[in-house]
Amino acid sequence: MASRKGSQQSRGDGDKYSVLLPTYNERDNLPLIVWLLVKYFGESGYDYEIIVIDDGSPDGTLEVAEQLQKIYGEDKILLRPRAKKLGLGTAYIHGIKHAKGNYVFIMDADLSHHPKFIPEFIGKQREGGYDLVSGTRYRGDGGVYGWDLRRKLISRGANYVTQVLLRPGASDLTGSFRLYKKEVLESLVERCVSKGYVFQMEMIVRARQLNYTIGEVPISFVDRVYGESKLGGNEIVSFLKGLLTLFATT
Amino acid sequence: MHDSNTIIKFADDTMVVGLITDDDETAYMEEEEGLLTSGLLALKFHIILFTMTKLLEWVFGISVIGAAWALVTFDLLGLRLPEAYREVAWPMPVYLLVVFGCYSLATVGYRVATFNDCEEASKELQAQIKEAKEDLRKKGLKM
Repeated sequence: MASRKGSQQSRGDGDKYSVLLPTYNERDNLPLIVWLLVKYFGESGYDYEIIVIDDGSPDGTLEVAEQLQKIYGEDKILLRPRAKKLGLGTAYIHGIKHAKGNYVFIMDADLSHHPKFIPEFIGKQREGGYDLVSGTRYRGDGGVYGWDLRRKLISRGANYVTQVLLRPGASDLTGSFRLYKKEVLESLVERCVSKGYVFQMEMIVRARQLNYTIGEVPISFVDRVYGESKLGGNEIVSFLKGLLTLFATT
Repeated sequence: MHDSNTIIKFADDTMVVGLITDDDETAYMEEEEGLLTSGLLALKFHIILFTMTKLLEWVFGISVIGAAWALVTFDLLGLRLPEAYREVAWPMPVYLLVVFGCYSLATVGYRVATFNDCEEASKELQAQIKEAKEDLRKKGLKM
């Protein structure tokens, strides 16, 4: 058994959690999200590493990441940069290549996902031995901050259509705050071909196809970006196209 | 099936016992081939069922329900069902669509109305951002 050191106890139970952070122009947010991750992982005692996958951000995100590496250590902050902005799926593949964890967290680096839920994800996963645990904004006390009525209507409407057509067995399909067993993430990413929102949906749909078990944790999503980028007609159209493709091919 | 053959079904295997006269095996061979083909067809059908896409599930389901509806409404099998059955069946598709439409509107409306607004989460985040910036500055981060 590991010894207690104040609030920082190491559980030493053999599980390690790799956190994948794909970043693009997150110079301001990256230090904050890393600080929060270090705080909550430290308090809970789980072993972890943070993998920053920067797609050649012009604002100097990688430079900030290097500073963070000096502060927190190269065993805790790993850098896996890429030359330019490529897809999310390939970012995951690139990130887990040298990941030492047997579990992988995926989340957004813009502070819309809060690391305080990480112990809840881990608890849920252990409770049911789930292959993947999905953060949901639509169940329990999950929710959103910063959305007006229009945005909520689009979100709930789109989710309803998805539920009717795909019957996926998970309440929040476009969410991207999730915990995967490493081998599950690997096997799913190589099968998924969609982009953007639909990529996250496809991951869950394929997981169901392969009979992986899915658990859920209510999360709060603090949207600080919505004000600047309204959800326009283009995104809705591409979402519907992606949804119909999944409907017809899975 | 040829009269000269007997089919014996075991649990894990089907055996064809055939009469071969004058070195003529044709009856026996034809029987074996027939069994093999129908076995493969059955297997293929099962595979298609298990890997049906959602689209195909819907097409299949709607076809089955549509066939049942047409059967009752237009009396396709000449069953001469009581008039009441036909009167109820005839408007069913439209009725079900309307019910589904109303249910959908009500469900989405309810979900939008009860969508949690995470005020607390936002405030907490703001406070933590301040704390984080202070701490990082102390640790030597140049922001």
